[in-house]
Amino acid sequence: MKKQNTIRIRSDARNGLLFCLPWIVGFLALSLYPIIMSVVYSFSDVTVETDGIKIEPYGWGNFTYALVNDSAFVTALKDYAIKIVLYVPVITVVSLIIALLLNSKVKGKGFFRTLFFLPVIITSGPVISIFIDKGVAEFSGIATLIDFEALSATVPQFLVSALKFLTSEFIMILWFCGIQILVFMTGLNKLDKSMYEAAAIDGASKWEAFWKLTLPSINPFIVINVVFTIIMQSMFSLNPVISKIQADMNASGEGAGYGYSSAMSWIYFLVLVVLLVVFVLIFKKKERRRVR
Amino acid sequence: MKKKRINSAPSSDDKIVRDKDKLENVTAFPSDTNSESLENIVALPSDIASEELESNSQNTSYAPNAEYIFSTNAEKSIWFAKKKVTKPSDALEIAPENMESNSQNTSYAPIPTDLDTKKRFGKERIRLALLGYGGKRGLISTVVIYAMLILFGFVYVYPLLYMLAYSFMDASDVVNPLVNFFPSSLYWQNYSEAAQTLNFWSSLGQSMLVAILPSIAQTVATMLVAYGLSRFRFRGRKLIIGLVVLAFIVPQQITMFPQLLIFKKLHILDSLLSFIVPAALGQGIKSTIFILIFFQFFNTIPKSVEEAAKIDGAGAFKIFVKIGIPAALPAILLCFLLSVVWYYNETVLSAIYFGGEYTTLPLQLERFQATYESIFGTASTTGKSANEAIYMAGTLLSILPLIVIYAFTQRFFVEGIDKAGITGE
Repeated sequence: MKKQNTIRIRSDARNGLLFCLPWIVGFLALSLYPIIMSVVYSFSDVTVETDGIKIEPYGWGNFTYALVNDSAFVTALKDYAIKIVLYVPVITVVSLIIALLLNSKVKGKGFFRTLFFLPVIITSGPVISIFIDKGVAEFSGIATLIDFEALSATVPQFLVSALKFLTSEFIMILWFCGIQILVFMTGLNKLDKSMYEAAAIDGASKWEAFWKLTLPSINPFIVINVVFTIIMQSMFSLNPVISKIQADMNASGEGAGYGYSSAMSWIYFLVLVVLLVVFVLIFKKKERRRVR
Repeated sequence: MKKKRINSAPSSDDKIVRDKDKLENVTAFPSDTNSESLENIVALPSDIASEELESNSQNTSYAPNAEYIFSTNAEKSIWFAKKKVTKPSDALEIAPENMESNSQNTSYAPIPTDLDTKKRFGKERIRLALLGYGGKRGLISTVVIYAMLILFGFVYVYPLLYMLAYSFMDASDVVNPLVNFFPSSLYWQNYSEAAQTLNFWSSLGQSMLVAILPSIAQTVATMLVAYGLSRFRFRGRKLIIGLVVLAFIVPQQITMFPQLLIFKKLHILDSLLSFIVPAALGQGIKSTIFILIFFQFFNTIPKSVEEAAKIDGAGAFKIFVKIGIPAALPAILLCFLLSVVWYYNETVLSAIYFGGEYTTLPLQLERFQATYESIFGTASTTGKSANEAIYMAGTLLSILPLIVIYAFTQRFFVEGIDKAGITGE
């Protein structure tokens, strides 16, 4: 019996590794090796020659140049961080609202679901950039409803500019909600109906039930959506940082070239990780507080 | 009682359903599969459907029945989502609703029926109709929900509608401030010029090639890894899962240039292989998402099914082909479609790796203005220019294939994600 068990474990390990083999090879060759090389490049001066590339050690030069001298990069990075900070809560809330609407008994649920998922299909950079260029992404109706001049008299300036930003990109924000809505809908579907009946018998209103039951139960889905939103936004090709990195990659001279763009990519990656950690901590903490 | 139901022969009208549902349904009934052999498990769900059909007249028996069959809500939702495809299950759809209304009628106060004063009755009735009572939604909240849905829906399609309207405007409409949304007439010329500029049919063919071949490779590769991670326990498994997630977080820009050098050494640049090779090794675009979706699906296969197959002498690969793949069919479709869409939309990588060898529609769109001028001349020489309307027509043409694909397959997208619940972990 025992012998059989060990045989099984061994064959399990062999088969499992066999199934994972293509990925492992791919990861080592096409992800891990490039990552290591990218670290090397970021600390060196890389020049492309006809028969390959020449690498000369450059120390922290690329990093200091990016953070100190290259104001365009710092601005792009700042814009990116602000964008994430504004986008993530709005996308999360809007997609939760839409998911809740769709989760209540409505006719044409399938139709609306199809509609809200449509943007996921059309996410190529060129098309979206045309939307933004031509002002289609703006929903001018909302912007005219709000009197920004009057607001700036009473509300702090950064809030007003945040509001301006959100109204000007309202459609864009909605367009990034597709997958998040579906994730929330799956989460809401998994909720136990009897829990709500019990709450209703105890006299809880629907509003209270939402805050006390729905929100805590779908917290894991909120975290998933937050992570997903941040990563998708960071990978999006119209992201200012990415276009900056892309533009500098093929240029030459100081503050350009592969070494420099590698350094920028790593700084970008660190900012991304920091944002990710901060947001996950914020949304996780909420749950703990409520439980207590 | 349950045993009997399982072994009873399925009724004739379920036969069509059986093939379709096959092993998929195994996932919905993990608890029932312990002692039965594969054949019986397959028969189980459709048998229940026929049982339910027979007892159609007894409405009250649904509630306990439904409770009994589905041990968790999640299972129920998965099952009903699946059942939508099949015909005989229509009767079943009544079950959860009945269950609800039954329990709601008992737990909430019924409509007050005091007919003493006519006036109060009327008022009360309007109030209840507006605000709702018990489990029934009132008129006000119904209106609010639909209004919000329609508003959001409108905002979603607004850019597309705008582009559609704009793309039919002729040159005078574009500059005419009075023509705001609706063009004065349908001007098809825009489309023919845009199609010519995009070199539509040739670009479309290449786009499809660029999208479909890597997608096949990616779907197969990610499915294999996910199966390995989900069904086998081995040392380093957790590490691999961690690395899969890590690969998702690291920006493309970090790995792009070193990858380019590798491809150059392998002489696969400027060919489709530069997309297919990473995809086949599980390092394609957003492959982490696909691995997680498959992982989730394979996790739902009960261990006992696999063990039964093992006792019957099936090897690991045979089990994967006979049990794993059928169980993951919805995920395969979903991943393949998503992969096609993402590869189609990719412009950054295709611009670098293909170096002009292949041009996709989105790439053509990026250089629309320049191409247009080279074909039709610049504004200064001919007095014509690629106005906004033509540009919009070109944009619509470039996303047309995606919209067509989506129109036919949207069910798989949406339901696949619903079933996979990307979520989990």
